[in-house]
Amino acid sequence: MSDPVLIIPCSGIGKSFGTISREVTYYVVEVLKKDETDTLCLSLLVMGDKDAVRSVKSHRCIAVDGCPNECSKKNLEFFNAKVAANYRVVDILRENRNLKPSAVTFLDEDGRKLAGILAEKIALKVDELNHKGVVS
Amino acid sequence: MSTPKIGVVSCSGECCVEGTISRIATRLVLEKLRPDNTVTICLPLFSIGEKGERMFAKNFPTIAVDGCEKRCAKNAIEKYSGKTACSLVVSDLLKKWGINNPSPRRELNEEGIEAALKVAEEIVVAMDEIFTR
Amino acid sequence: MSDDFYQEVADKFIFTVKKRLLYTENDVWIEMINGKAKIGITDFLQRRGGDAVFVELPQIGKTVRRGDETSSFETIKAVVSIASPFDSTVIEVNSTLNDKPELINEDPYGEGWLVLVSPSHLEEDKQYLMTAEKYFELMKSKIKDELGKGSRKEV
Repeated sequence: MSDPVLIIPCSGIGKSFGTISREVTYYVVEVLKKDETDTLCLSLLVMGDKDAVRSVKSHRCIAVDGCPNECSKKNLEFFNAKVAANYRVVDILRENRNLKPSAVTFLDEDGRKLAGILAEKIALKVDELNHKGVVS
Repeated sequence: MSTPKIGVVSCSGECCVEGTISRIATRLVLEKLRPDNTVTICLPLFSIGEKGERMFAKNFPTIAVDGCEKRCAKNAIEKYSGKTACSLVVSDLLKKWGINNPSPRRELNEEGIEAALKVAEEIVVAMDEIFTR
Repeated sequence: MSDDFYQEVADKFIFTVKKRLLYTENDVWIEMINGKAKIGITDFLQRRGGDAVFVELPQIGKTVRRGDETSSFETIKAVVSIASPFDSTVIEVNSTLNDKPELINEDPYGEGWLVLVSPSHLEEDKQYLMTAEKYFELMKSKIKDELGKGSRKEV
């Protein structure tokens, strides 16, 4: 895989948003853009793991945050990552008011639907990044 | 007398199934096994300096539940708040139990959920041991 | 405890009550400004409610009675209704909340303010308000009740 886009979720454990951010990432990385994306553990980056830091500086990154705390985006910026885009699950919820994801440990149906919607958006973004080829 | 509390910190690592198991196990302890005694520390929030999370980890015993030997949760707690009371590594536990490649990382299958339950029980054993110290 | 806030710690949550404001038992704060009242919700209510996804604000010019819903915010869990502390007329709303509802959570006593109203029976309605000190005590008992219910599955 040459120059994959790294999709990095917050994986916040306390809210359904965090679980959704995780599912979004897996859906993109394992299904929608299998050969063009990858992920890495945010916790590794947080601890300043050399390989993780090197990866985020040398690859285009997309932060997938659950809520306005924006833990993924903030950590990526702290390590001077190439943040090509950032998304918040809560913003997608605002666009889809009919969905009420409530489960935190295991995603419920609305959580999956929301994850699917955001994953498709990110997939489009990956296409955009790869066609342009340059991070602004 | 107030209910004794322990902070449980999961790495929730995305890269491997052990990270998913650490997350699910921690949630199971919070939701089902020890709801009155468990406070989960959100590692990403903790790492960006959230006051409440850091203060709790400083003032109360913590159990780090890591997916792999890199021990991100344990190291983060010890860097910002203080020594953990206990550290569990899911990959070590799975090896001890003879469980290999239990599940896809995205969604735990039956074997993965069983593994998460076993890890949750280990967390509870650790909690009970801390309470009796 | 800081100069500006009373603080109560429960588990990993630090609940704050801003000093020198007035409060209602329904977790609403009031700041009197030249006879007008700026209104918002307390830190306790924003934490209990959860992440605000939508905020419903009243129309300017609307009259409300004390106890009626003056605004509300919707979270992933519920719609949280905010009761008016006064018989009053709405003269200004915080329209920033339409695009940034998270201000209610991030800064409930500051940028997360909701409405500015002109009370019509201020002296009469004031008897239902309490000082920050009194609200702080009330909040502590509410926190104790919440913890007793075990409502911590989501943080």
